[in-house]
Amino acid sequence: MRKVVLAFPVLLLACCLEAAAPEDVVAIIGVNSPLAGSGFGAPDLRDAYLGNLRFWKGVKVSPVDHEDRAVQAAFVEKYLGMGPSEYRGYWLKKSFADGVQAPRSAGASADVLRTVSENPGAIGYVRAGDLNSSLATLLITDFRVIVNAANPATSVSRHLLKDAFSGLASKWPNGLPVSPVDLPLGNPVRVAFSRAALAMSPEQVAAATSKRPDAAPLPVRSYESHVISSVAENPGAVGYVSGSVRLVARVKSVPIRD
Amino acid sequence: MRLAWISTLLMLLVPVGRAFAAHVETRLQIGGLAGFVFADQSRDRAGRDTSPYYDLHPIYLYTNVSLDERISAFIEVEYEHAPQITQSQAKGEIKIARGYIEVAFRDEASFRLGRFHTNFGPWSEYHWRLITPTYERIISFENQYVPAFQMGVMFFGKKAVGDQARISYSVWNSLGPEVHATNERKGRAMSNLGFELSGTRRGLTAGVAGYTEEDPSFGNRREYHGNVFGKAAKWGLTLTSELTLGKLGADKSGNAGSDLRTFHAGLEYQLNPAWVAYYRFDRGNDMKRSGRTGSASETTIHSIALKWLPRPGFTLAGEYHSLGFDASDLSGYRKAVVLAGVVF
Repeated sequence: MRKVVLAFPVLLLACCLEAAAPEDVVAIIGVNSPLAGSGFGAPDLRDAYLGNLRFWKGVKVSPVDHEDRAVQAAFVEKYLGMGPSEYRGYWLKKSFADGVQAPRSAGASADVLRTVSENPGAIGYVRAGDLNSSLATLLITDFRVIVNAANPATSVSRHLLKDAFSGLASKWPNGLPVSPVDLPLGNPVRVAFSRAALAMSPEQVAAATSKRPDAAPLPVRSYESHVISSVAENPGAVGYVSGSVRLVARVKSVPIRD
Repeated sequence: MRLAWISTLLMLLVPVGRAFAAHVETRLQIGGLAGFVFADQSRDRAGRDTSPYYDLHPIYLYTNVSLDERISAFIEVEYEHAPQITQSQAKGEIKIARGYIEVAFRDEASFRLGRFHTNFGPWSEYHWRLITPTYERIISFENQYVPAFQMGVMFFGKKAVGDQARISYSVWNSLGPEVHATNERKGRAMSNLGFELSGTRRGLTAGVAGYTEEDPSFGNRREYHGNVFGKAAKWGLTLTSELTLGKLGADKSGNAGSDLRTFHAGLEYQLNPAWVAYYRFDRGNDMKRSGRTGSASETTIHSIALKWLPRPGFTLAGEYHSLGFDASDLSGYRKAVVLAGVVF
């Protein structure tokens, strides 16, 4: 009996620890979704899940929820900046006042994957480990800025990034010439980087660059591994890759500062 | 005009017919809200004693049917003044508060046909007391600044302006005859054109809105209404403010309407996920509370509320309101309200 009594707080603690463990969730779309590479970004995802965006470039956007409350809670916190109760309370009011239907529950991860793969405008989210790349792909991609390991810079300013990726000649504060390396237009990592780091869409960056007669075309690499190789070979290079990509020793990631 | 109505109706019915003819996925959503109110007022505006009262908050039930990805139908039924509950001699009243078909071609272009609230500005958020900051409504909503709802057809939409701003707009036409709203609005038919431009940056939201309206029942009186609003959120604090102005043209007798002006600023503090504290200052010419039309008395209201939200949809609130009038023949008073409700 005494052991049972002693075990109870341990079990309780274990339950609490398990409940507190955050879920790693990712926003997804079908592999053939017209939203891929269309510039659909994190603010649009938030608007779609809050019922303020119903169409994207003529496509009906249909967000769906995961049936698992823990996954849903992790998603609304990560992508919408809300608590789960706040999200449910928001939709109770929104559905009534504005006559807009809340995202429907698509079911478990397998159902969410099937829903986004079968419906062009569907958006969903699953645990990162549940993502099946034959059915769905990431909608919003995390990225990190990378530089050569020999570069003494410990961070990179947003201003320098803007100049570099707009094709303007620029130097690092230590005097090294900046050599930006881009991913192809439409690549979701480029979309995420352009919107988050440069506060512009990739198309706007490209248009701004093309208007400058002195701007040289940026080297574009088809794959993230090629971006890493290019940065590893050039001390002044700067690029960006997905947050989950493994880096080599001659490359380091640096934070962006305002 | 009748031809225009019939044409519009037919245009809207074509896609509805297509939706029924094709195999489409429909989705039904049902919900509503209900509550209970107890209020105790120190005296009325004439200085006479009053008795505390309790009442049902009107019960609303709605259903929203999504016929396909672009067409939906919404119906809301309201039941108020339940005779078993109220102390008055009310008989109870059931009515269709809203009922419309909506066709959304894209976010920039949608139509509504039927009976619905005007889709304009932040005002529409103040209709249902259970989901508004306080049971006591803001002055602009309670008076003739805002048309509430009516039978009509509306074209509306919204469009992003840059990364952080948005413009929304509506063109609304109605022939009445039934108009439900607050003072001075019953029995009117009207048309209006409105817009709202708002933007958010670093937790700050600011916007302007305006609408103009022609009122045939007042000899085609032209009204102009403007609104400036803002919101800032930081550290669990949310500050909102709104200035609303209105200018009424001459009525059919040639009498110029009086200008309208009202302001409110509210501060909400999220104590924790379940508790919210709120204060609001209201000032404006208030026809409803002063009991006057034309030359309404300037009214000042201080409101304090404490809300308990134990789970989404459940609310228990205690409120205290202090009302004062500039007019010397009107007596200010205090009012305490307890409100319990559920949104489902």
